[in-house]
Amino acid sequence: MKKEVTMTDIAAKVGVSVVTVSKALSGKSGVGKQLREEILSEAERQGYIPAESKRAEKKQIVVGVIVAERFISEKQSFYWKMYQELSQEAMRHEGFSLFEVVSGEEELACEVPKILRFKKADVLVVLGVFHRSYLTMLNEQSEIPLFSLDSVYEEVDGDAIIVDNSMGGYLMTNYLLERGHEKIGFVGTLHMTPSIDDRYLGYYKAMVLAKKTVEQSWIVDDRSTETGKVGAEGTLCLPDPENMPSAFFCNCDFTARLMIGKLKEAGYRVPEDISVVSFDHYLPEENPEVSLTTYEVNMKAIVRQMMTLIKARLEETDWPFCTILARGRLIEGNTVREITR
Amino acid sequence: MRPKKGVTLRDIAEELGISAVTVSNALAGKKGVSEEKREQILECALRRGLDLAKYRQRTTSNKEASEELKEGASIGVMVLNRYISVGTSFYWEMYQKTAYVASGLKCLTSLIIWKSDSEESAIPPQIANQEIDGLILIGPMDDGYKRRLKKAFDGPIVLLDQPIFDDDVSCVLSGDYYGMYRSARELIRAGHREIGFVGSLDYSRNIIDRYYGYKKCMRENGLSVRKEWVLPDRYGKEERGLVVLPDTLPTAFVTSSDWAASYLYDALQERGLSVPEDISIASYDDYLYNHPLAGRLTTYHVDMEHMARCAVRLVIRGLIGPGSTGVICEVDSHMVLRDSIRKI
Repeated sequence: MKKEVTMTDIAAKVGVSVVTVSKALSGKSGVGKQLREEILSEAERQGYIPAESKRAEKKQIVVGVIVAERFISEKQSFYWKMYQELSQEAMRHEGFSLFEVVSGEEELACEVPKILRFKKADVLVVLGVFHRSYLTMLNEQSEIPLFSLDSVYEEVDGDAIIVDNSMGGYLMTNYLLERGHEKIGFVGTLHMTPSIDDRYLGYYKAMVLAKKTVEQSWIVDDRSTETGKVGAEGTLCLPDPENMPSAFFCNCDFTARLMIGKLKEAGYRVPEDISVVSFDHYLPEENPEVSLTTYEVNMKAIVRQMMTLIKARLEETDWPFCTILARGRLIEGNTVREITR
Repeated sequence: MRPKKGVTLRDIAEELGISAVTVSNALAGKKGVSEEKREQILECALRRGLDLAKYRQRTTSNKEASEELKEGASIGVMVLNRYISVGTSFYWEMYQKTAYVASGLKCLTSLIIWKSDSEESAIPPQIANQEIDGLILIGPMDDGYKRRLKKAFDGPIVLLDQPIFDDDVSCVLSGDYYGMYRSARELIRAGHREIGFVGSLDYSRNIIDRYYGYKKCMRENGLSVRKEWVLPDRYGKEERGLVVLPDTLPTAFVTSSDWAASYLYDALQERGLSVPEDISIASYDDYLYNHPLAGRLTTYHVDMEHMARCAVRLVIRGLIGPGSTGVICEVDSHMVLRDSIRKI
């Protein structure tokens, strides 16, 4: 009687592990397309009778997502919204997402995330900022492609999509310059996150090109360097009245709202006395009277581009990595006044 | 054969490229695992010297087994699109808490935002394909659709903020009945005798339960419920929020949600009435933003994080325990006393 063909036979012939054969035959994630085809044809050749499977013909792409706990403890966090868009986009491509929050301790200890340990996904999306040593661990340990979303780091060998922060900063600052403002300040603590720094660079470039000076006293800190809390004690300190610019570019909507609060407290009217522009446009309208002029980050577009890139990456693992800078658009609110020359 | 030191379910799972849950199910003889797969698992388990007796009878008291099983389990969290498409919403926050809590309990979550629970609507593929280990449904969903989900999915299903529809399915509820009772009681304590209710009874089971909590409180205090003071909070197919006031009014209202309270407030404003000077309100949820009443409403707090934790725990229990039958978990909370009630 002919000995029944087992997965071990196939594995031996193809030169891979039994795990890989099992995954390939049952349609699970974790096996590259080419290898899967090789295994399938070998299985057919040897006359392997596959186990009854409940699975659909088409294999689903599993997009793993990790985010650091400190960025999602706020209910309104940017990253929750981004994950929501991402999960829907994954499903639009007949896939689904798996979400994991990396706690502070796990991040410091550089613990391998469960998505990787249990081989749950086809690609791992690194959402936002992580400590560099954690990123190095990911880069070393991951067997699946890594994808950085909203941050890009040298430690990670993979594709990335980030918001074109410097372009956005440049455009928003130009918006003020075009409306006659010459003395423009920047609200944001530098050297803390790449996003803020890049927005500052865009602002700086716009000012320099328009031959306007950037006064150090017009750069206002918005968050604590220890805790990262926006609006903490000692931040958002307004320049002296004699030295007040006519407008501020705030690095994000959240900061802008607090800044407007501070300006009003000090007796300034927005936009009559001081104009304010910002960045993000994802927070729901809180106060209908204050409608921020801001730079909208198009999350839906970013996530769509990401999925396209992920699918391409899963097909061609050797293609060189790229970083995509996603553009946004200007949203005009009521926080800017034109200065008549 | 002496068992090799430390062979675990996870080792078997990793070798075969399946989840630990599937291995456990197979060894415990649960349904949902094909015969071929079961044999494959057994073959591997025997070869590697796994102590089968330990896994044959799966009980929750087997701490080791449970710890292994839940690690890396993936839980689908399903919400209908209409509950989360508008800005900050109650159910979106409920989802966040669930994802957060699940991570803390070493589980992964998969957010499933689904467009419709109609008859023609499909079942999400990751559910039909058993790609996830457990399922949590957040918010109201058509019973027929829920039945189809249950038929398609082998793993444990837990309803979050919805009562059970089937014996096999567990659910986690907020106070509802007793929560609304407490709210009504605050009004009675402040001296009110004529108290109305705001909430559309045909909308959801939660509202009906809250209505009965209000009714019970009224009855216990010898007060009658007047039909003309039981007001719906929404109209039309789109369920637009709106409260239409009768000609005569009671001195206070119990509202089935803070959302309903905001529409009641708007209707009262239009009539030139203020809260609490003219009409007192006691509500339910403790979830109101961007409204003059926010921060002033006396209401029953819903402990979302606790509810989410119960739901995730129930799923985990469903994964490791012998077929757990429908458990109803009611998460009680407390009243938040602010200033929407005037003493009379």
